[in-house]
Amino acid sequence: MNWSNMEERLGFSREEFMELLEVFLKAAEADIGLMQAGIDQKDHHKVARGAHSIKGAALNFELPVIREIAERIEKRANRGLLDGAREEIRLLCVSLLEISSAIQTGFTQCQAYSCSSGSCESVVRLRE
Amino acid sequence: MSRRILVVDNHPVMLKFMSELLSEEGNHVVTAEDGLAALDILKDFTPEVLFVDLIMPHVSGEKLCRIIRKNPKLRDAYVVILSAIAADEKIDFLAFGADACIAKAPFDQMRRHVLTVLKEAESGSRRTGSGMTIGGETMHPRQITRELLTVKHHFEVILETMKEGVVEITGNGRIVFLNQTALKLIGVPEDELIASRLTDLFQDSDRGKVERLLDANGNCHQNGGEALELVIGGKQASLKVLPLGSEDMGALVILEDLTERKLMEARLLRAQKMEAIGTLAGGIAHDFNNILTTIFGSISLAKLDAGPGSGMAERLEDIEQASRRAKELARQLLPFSKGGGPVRKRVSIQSIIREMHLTAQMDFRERTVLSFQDDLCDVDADEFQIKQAITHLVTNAFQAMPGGGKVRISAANSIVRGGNRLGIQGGKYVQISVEDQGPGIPDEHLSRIFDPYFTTRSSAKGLGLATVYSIMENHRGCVTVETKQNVGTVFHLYLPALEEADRVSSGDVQGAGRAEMRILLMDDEEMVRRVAGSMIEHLGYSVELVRDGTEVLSLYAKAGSNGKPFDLVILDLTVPGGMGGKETMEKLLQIDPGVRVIVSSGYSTDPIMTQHESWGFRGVLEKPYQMSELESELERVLQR
Repeated sequence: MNWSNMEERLGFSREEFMELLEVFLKAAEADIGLMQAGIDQKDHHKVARGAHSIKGAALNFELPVIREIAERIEKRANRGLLDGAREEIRLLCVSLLEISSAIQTGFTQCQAYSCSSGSCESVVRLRE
Repeated sequence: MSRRILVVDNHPVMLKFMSELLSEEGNHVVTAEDGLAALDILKDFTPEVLFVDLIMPHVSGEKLCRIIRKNPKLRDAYVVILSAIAADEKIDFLAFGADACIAKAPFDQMRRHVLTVLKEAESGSRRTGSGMTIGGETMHPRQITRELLTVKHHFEVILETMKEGVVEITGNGRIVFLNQTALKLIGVPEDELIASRLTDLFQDSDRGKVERLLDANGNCHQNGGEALELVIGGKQASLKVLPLGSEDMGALVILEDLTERKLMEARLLRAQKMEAIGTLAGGIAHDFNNILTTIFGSISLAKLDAGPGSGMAERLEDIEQASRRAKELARQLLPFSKGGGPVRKRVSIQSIIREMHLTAQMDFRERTVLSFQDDLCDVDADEFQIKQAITHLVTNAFQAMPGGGKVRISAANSIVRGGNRLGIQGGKYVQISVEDQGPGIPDEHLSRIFDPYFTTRSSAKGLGLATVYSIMENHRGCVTVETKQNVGTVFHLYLPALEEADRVSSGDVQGAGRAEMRILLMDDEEMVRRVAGSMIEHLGYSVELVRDGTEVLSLYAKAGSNGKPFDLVILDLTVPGGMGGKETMEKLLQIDPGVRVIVSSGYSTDPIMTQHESWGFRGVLEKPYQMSELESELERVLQR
């Protein structure tokens, strides 16, 4: 996906879009920290809270991959289920790192915005 | 057009996006990261437009809207809900006071919708919308979110129907959620409680206990599962703190109304104390009354020998007077004694109170105001004990007003519902109220006033209200108290009401036939036998005396077979080491189902004494008895 198309589509200048993404990444970093602490402490509420926060922002940025992963984590955590959460968080991190790299490399392509097969696992496999 | 705008959202991206968008349009924008922060800002900032996220930690968007609408300064503000769940659930944002709702969406759509709504706000078209969510039509319901919403609703229903009060507080002790039970217990509107400090709910004496659960920064600590007992909303309650993970995440405070439990505990404790006193009082009733029976009988007989007007007769009168006082003293203890209820008959409360009023001292009469319901029901009660209870209450009322004041005594029919707080069965009662205009009973004394030996006066024994309590319990009624400082106190007595009149006719047995009537008296105490026997003879009857039930059965059977049956038998109830009244009665009924038997005992509250007819007895004689009482009961039973 072309980042300049995206910022244009969402109605931002390059600078504005970068700033917002940085806020998003910073908040997501804190949310992931919260989720990891939740897993360590077996506190599913913390995990759900962090996932919910990332999910909401992903909706604004039209990041379907990140939104789907976050939603899966949130749903299971709300039921008290934390098994597999670490792996899901790792997937989130990969996607977020992708965005981070894209910012640094001048916004060319970012797979976090697309998913050829519709499954997030495939995004990771593509990178591997 | 520049407007003052407040944006409330817990995500920094949304706050930044909204802040920049609205500022570009020339507005003065302030942001808050949650509902609690928004409430703090609103103390000093009055926005014209508010954008509020629906789902936020601490205070939700819905709750924030409701609080905003109760604030007179913000009543006309334009409130817009920002919702990510609008596609999955219809949000009735108009119901909680918002003017518009925008579904969260990609930024380009959000921008368009926000600006549209802002134009609507400028045109002053608030609250004219259809309740439709802007942007909601382009979103598609998602199964996952729907499931989560179902889980959320499920938890909400559980929370709202819990019998415990649940209060959520932030890490620094501020209230962000209360369920219905907590609101009812605290008794303060929700909008006044949200964002207030938990510790502010308690009176000074309890505040310290709650503060010790929070550290210097107001963070919550585990209280070790121990519940604190304190007063909240004027009610006794227990408080338990359950931290939500780490300290900064806040805690759940579980409140339980202890009013009912405390009442039950107090009732149980009082019952235990009464039982201990009952054991003592029962013993006194038996031995003391046996001695008094002998004294009374001997006095009655000695007076006959002394002749009227002699110096001896005067001294005997004094002895009789003193013995009567001894009898009254022993009788005052009887309501406490174990083993049963009062000696009941149908009585009119109005007649009892009017009679007491007529015989009271003049200054008491002048300071007493009586009032009665016209169709006041009778009650099934021990007249002596009811008089005793009313006397105690009236005496207390006068003592509470040494400087003067009126005592109001009233009686009315009262319907008490089942499951009431009084601890009595539902039904119709006669409620007797004794009201004074004294200083009221201090709170610290209120829970102890019915305890035996509790008194605030050095000259008093502290048995008055305990006696009242015991009398009411024995009548399957109760006593309650209402008191207000510097206004007065009113005690209410509840006695089960009788609906139908059932009066017993009475007549006299003429002395002429007495000589032919044979009475068999059984008592294990030789003195009682001797004196009671003499009294019966003096009344003109023939009497045979025996010491226990075995002798009664033998003599009664023999007399029947000899053609000289006994017309009446008097049985002592308790015969240590021998056959007592109850067993003898059972065997007498086998010999002669029509046998007339009077039961006699110093245990006037024994079930056999109070319900003697259920056991086959025709009459009852409470020891000690005087000549006139003996004569009256013998006449009554013999004429049946």
